[in-house]
Amino acid sequence: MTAACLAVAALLALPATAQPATAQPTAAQPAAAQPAAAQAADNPIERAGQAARTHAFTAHVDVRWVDAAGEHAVGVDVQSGSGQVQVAGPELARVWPGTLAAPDVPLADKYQVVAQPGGYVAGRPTSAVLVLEAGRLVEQLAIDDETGLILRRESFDANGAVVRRIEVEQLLLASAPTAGSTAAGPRRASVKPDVMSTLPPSFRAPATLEGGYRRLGAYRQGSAIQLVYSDGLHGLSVFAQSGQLMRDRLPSGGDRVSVGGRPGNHYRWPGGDVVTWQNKGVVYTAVGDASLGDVLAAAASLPGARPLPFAGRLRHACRSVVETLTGGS
Amino acid sequence: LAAVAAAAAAVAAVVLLQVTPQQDPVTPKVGQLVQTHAASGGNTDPVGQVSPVAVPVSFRP
Repeated sequence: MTAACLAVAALLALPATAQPATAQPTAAQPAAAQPAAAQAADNPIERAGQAARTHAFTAHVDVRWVDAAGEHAVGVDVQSGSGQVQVAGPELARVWPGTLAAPDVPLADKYQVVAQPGGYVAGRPTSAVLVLEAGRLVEQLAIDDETGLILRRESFDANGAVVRRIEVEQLLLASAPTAGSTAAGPRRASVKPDVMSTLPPSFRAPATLEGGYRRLGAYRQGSAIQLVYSDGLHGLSVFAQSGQLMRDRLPSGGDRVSVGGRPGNHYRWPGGDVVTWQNKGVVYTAVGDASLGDVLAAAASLPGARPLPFAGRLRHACRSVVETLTGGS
Repeated sequence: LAAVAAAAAAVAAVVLLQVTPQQDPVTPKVGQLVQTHAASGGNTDPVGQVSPVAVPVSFRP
């Protein structure tokens, strides 16, 4: 990390690790809402998406997250136009929108959203939106009053500590809004998702998972099946692979967790948490944007594989023998 | 003779099931799966979506 990054980290360390300025509120005690704040609370994520489609801007974004090694900070320049957000650099990389459509899962099914007046972020007036689950603060958003863009997003763990914080430090709006169409340009993911209408008989893909997650789709990703879930605020991808987990060949740096009583490996990434474990012949890797507790609860509700019938097991055994004899070719 | 052949086939099948591994070894490519999840990005606000892309996933292979 450069000296400049360290300086920024030192400057922002206090607000990043302290409790939010607002006391832990409850849904029953909303603060006095103002018109802009009430509008922001309607569906802040959806509104931010609309704002990014209709406003061209450049921004410097500060990304911070906390893992077992401590706090990390990185500054990123982004630009938006023609309905896309890209990371600036020698090669533009599209980061938004994603390859999958936005889910149609109501935020209010799981969370309470409380709007109240906010402070200034990047020199711009904002409204604060508190996202609570059973009275506990899960995320706090700062919504730009003029555009609806989310200028700061903080995620909290069960103890109320900030585990992730993304903040726009500088925002320059272009003079004219964009048309909102999708323009041609560099894309990070240009491959269309391989939708799976039917799953292999041994796999089970629950329509819902613990924590209010609903299944949105299933996609083939090489040898894995990606099951995509949402709880209205966070996304969760469950990658299922048939076989035996080679635990000793997993990346180092993770820690051990229990997934419904089964041993799992946990890693933190800048956007959330990852858990890998095995359940009855299926190796699962769950990648989520929510807190670790949320990801673990959802993960624990995933079932193992259905046992193969005798003929299926015999077919598998024969294939193994053939692959062994032919060297796997 | 047919009965003997059938019995031999059954024994061979059972032995085959016993000596061959029931499951293939799997090592999830964690970093790649994280990138795939981040690229899906259907549930994140435009600015929030920056975080996984801006910072390369550093899981060692």
